[in-house]
Amino acid sequence: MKLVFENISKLYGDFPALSGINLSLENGVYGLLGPNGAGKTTLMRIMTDLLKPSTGRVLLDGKDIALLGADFRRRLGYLPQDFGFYPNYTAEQYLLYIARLKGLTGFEAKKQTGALLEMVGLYEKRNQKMKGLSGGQRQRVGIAQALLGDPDILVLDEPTAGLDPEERIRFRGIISNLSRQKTVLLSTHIVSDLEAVANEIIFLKKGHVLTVQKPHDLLRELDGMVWTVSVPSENERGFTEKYPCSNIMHDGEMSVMRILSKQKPHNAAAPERPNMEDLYLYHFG
Amino acid sequence: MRTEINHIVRTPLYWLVLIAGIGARTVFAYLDFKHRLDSYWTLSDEYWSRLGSITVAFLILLVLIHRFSVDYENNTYPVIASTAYGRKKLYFERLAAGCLMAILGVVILTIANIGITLTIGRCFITPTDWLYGFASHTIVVIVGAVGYFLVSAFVCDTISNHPASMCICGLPLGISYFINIGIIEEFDLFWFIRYGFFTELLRGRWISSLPAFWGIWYPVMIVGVFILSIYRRKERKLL
Ligand SMILES: Nc1ncnc2c1ncn2[C@@H]1O[C@H](COP(=O)(O)OP(=O)(O)OP(=O)(O)O)[C@@H](O)[C@H]1O
Ligand SMILES: [Mg+2]
Repeated sequence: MKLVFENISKLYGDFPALSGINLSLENGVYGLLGPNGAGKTTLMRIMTDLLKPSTGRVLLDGKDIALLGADFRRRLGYLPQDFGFYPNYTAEQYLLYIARLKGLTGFEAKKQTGALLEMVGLYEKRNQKMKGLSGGQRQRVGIAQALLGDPDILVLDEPTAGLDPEERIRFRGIISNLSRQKTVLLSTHIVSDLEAVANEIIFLKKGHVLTVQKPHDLLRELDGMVWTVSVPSENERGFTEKYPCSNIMHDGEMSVMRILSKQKPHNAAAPERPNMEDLYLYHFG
Repeated sequence: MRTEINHIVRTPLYWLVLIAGIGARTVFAYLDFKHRLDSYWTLSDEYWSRLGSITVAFLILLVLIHRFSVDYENNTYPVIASTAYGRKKLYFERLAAGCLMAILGVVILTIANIGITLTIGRCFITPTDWLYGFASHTIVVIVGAVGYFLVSAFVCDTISNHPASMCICGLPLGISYFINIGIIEEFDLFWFIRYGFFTELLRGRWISSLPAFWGIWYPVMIVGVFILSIYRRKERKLL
């Protein structure tokens, strides 16, 4: 399976939310990374055929998804960023409703709903109305509905938003256990999530794709560029103005700073292993 | 389709409106029996003319058309519209389910009115003339209810706003109850409001003033609003 974005751009009025996106996605997990307003949600809405691009088209195995229609959507699972729900439906009723719309038989719908509720840890809460669930629990219902019907294209817009650390780990487990035959595109601001699950990372900035690379290749680019420096607090400003700084810890009179720099910034600077946060800062800081 | 019908059946408001309508009818039937016994059967036959038609209109506006804005109110349409059958098929299923439930509502009210009239009139042998007359009115009501539901549903789907749709579709209907047939003339505004928005049909009467004109007007209106909703859906990528 191959999903191709062919010269996609989107104008809202005369504001270009996306410009000239060319991408080709195959099986694997793709992480979409970019600051607020970069166009991640817009790209995902175009990819799910909910939004018409101003130019270009999305092709699934060479066919335009807008023309494939239901044949495309049968293979699609989508979790929108602001996931809506029916307040008076229980988690189970909601999933059964979506399952029927996805074309599952009654038997299959029941089976998968039970299994997915188990998988996202909500089986005990299945008969509770969704208005009575916490934000993170609702989000997990959202993840479960995207997985209904075992779609081979999964589009997840900030799936880990609102999840506690334990649930985020569980979510990463779910994603890495998915069959290798799937294409997963997920966006998140929690960059450490991507390090663990993404095969490729797409950097999006102001509607442009900066780069598409594997996480460890990206991290290798930063080798020798991340340092910790410990300086007296009054000298802190001098460093933060000069270098991108991914962390500052105050320890008594001293400031321990994690900074990005091509050259060794200070005699006492110690090299560090780069992580995804450094990478984010490097590209978007 | 079953899911959509189930959903309406499980909506308490649907039954609440019917129960309120039937309750009110019981009170009126009792009062008629006590104070206007000589016209008891005629008054019962005129059930659709006021109370019955108002109940049906409430049922359609409050409950049945709500299904067409619910996905926007709850912001569920991105999920719904990304499923295989969440666009065209769901739309037509909701229309069909709404029509059926509107008909069911009319049938329930019919049975209730017959039951109440006979029980309070203490006459368990039905006067066949009366029954025949009432049934023939009921058929017109069914036609009117389906038409009125369709137009209101198309409006609600187009503007995706339930309260606004209730106003748009309820206002001409409400006003028309206060228009006196005796003083209106053909082709003036009140004549148009009186006959042009399903009032007569919901009240169980075929339109007597220029039936040929209305015979064209109603299909044109229904198809027109339908095309509008299709156009809006295309725009929103919901087809
Ligand atoms: N319906 C709209 N009308 C006008 N402008 C819009 C609309 N939707 C999005 N935009 C603009 O398009 C840009 C991209 O928005 P988008 O929602 O795709 O960003 P995002 O990358 O998902 O951001 P976030 O991380 O905050 O979710 C933003 O600048 C936003 O203001
Ligand atoms: Mg977004």
